[in-house]
Amino acid sequence: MSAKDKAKIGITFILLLFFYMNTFTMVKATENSALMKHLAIPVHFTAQGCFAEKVLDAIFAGIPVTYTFSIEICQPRPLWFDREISSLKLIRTIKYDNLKNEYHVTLSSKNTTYTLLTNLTEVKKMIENVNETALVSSDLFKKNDLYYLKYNLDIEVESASGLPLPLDYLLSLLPWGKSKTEWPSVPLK
Amino acid sequence: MNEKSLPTADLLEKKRRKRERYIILVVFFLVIILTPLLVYLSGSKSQLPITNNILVFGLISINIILLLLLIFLVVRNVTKLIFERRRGILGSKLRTKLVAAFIGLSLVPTFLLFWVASTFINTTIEKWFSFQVEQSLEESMKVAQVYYKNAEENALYYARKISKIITENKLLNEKNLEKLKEVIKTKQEEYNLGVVEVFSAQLEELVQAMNPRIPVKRFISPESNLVKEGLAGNELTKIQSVGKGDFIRGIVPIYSTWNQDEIVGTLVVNYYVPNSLVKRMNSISSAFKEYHQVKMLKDPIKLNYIFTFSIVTLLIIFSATWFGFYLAKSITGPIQKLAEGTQEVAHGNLDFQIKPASDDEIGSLINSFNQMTSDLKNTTIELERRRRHMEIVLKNVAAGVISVNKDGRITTMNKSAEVMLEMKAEDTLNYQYQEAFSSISMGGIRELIRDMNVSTGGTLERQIKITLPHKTLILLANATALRDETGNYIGLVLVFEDLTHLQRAQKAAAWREVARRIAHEIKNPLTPIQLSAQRLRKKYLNQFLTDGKVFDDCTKTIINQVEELKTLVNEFSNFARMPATNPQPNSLNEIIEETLLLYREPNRNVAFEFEKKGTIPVFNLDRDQMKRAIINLIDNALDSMKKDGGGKITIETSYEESLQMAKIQIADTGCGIPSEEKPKLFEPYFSTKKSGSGLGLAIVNSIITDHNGYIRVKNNYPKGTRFIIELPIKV
Repeated sequence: MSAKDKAKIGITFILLLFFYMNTFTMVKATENSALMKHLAIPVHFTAQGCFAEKVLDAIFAGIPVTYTFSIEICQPRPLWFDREISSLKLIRTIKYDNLKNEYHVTLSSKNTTYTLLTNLTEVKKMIENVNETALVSSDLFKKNDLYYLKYNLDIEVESASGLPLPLDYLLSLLPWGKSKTEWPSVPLK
Repeated sequence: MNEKSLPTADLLEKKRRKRERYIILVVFFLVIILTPLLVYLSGSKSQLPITNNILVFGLISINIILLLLLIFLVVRNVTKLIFERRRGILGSKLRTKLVAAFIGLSLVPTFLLFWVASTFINTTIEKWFSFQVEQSLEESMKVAQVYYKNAEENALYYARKISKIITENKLLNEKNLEKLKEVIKTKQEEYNLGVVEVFSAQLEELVQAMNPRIPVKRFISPESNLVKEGLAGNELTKIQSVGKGDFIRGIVPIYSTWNQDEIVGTLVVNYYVPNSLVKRMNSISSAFKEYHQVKMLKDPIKLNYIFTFSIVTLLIIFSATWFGFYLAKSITGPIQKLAEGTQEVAHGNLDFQIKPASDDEIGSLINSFNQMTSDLKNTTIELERRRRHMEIVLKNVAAGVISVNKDGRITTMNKSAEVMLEMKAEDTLNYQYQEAFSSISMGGIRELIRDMNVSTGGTLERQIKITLPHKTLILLANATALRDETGNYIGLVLVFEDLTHLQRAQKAAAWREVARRIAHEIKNPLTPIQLSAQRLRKKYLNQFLTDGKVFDDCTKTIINQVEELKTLVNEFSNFARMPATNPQPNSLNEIIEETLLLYREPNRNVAFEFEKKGTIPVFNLDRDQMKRAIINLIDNALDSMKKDGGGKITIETSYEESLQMAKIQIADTGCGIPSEEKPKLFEPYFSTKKSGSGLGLAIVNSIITDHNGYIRVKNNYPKGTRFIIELPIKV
């Protein structure tokens, strides 16, 4: 099957995603004594291309679309897989109520904040802009060692349920309705 | 079954079982590995219970593995078949045809079915997502959306209208509160609104008029922020789900009567959408959503069905191919075995038996083959027995037998023929007789065969003389034409007998008779002649005065010549009256030693050497006759060396245990005997010497023949003659 056909088939969204990393700066934690042993790593970036035409079609049809941002801090290891120091997952879900013209946005990192919006531009901003702080135990870091941060985005459109049994099983093995970016990385200073 | 094939078949069966066990183990482990892998790959998408997952993915794994296994086996068999065909292995062509037929027969209906099913599914799926369906759903959705939109607009419209009435009639004044309630109630009823609420600038609800059909318990007043929005001068609508129904709220500010910019309150008009309607519209919304969800999976679903059909199609094709292989093997296997069996039988292996595989026609064929092989073996054994018998007869028959086929090639030569003609059978068999008997001495045989070939008669008999390097043979050859059952000429058989000894014996007997008669006829008048000559000499010798010498010489000559004649006649007489042999146990070496003693002293110029190789047992010999034979041979040897005035005589005795034959060789370094004279050497009255009677070697031959022995003569190297005497020990 050609790439063109594949694109036609379903919910494989050809997504070009660019992350604009604003800052990845390790700073000393706050004065809060509970966080004294932790390093707060502010993570700011904007994802572009999250709302491709097919994604928007799915949203307007009332299909929930989930954006999962994965951020991992890793330590490179020669001759073996890199060691994962810490990871952060940000799950953002949009569900559009086409009767009431309302967007329901769920942000997992904000303690499941439920937001009702009627403006798509606001919704887009809410999804695309990531402004989080990763708290990592300082014990995990060693002086003079190298660390890097990598990140990616998975977009998943909720697929139909109640399909005939074999279809449900077979489709679950295939990447329909999923889109995944590469894992770009930046070194930590 | 062939002796070798039984363990081989067992070994193959064991190997096959071992391989099957390995395959089952590998499949089992693959299923164990693949199932969790598929469960993992399906991830969170599959919302079915884990037991179902394991069961279904287990089955999928088995199917995938079996399909892969089937593909592997089919590809392997096809490759094997191609190689077998290239190598020209028996049965591969028939198998190829059968497999091709099965594939061909299965391909057409399978692909037809695949095409029909794919087209049908494609059309059906397209119909699911047809334009009409989509449009109906969209229109329904729009109706629902328009309903809400209209309700919002109406709520705002009536809110604005009531707000205006309140402003114009100064109804927010505390004194007019009752009137406000009345107006709100009136308007609520007039416009058939759900709930109409009036809030003061302090967010206090002043009036609430509710449609009695709305369940009171379900109604919740708008949130304060919405009211604040109204107080801020904003007009807005809000749909709020309450319980099972929805409230569509229109929120507008209430302006002051005296100052149009001053907001003194907020009016909220609530439209109530009952549960039944909400439910229906939610159904429309849900259907719209699900339709789009499924629509997004349109191509994957199509692909899935095509994939499923492809798997089924492949399964059918591969199964048909596999079945074709199986059937072809079940047919060509026994045929191949039969062909191999035929080849084995053709190569002479008559022990080859094929194990019957089934009780059908092929099984009967195999049984017939086995029976045929068995019968053939018995026949061959019988033929071989007869051939061996014939061979033994031919080998042991004294006559030489040679057979020639119609092409003139020699097909048989027995042992006696080999010995007589000093030829080897392997050097002549399958050769043309002209080539095999090409030497000049064999001209007689060639002529006989040639004459027989052109003759129309059945038999031809002829006496042939053959001169070989060391002997001359007189053969009585009988050529008989061979004809098959229909009388066709298929060759000839040549039987010949060695008449040499017989002829020699006959000659000797004839000569003895001649000698006896000569002796008898000549000896009788010799004595009166001699006596008369002696009497004349005695009476008249002294009476001759002048010619007395002549008389004396003549009578002396007569007497001496008669004496010599008597000696000659005596020799003839002795030859004719050779005494009968009287064999007694004697030592051959002792006889030779005794004989040599007579010669060593008088012949000092001649070297006598006696070599005794091995021990010769004592056996029956006529001592005197044997001594006489050796004396004659030594005399001849000494005569041949007279010219040289000396030389060497070597006597060698040996014993060949296997033949039980004593051998004497007497070699001299004399002048030798020319080859052309050798055949006549043992004939009476043949001599190479001027003074010889020609009886010496004839007597030797006679003595040796009486001892059942054989004497032959050869050249001695570097010079001289060698006589070889062979005497059998057991007679």
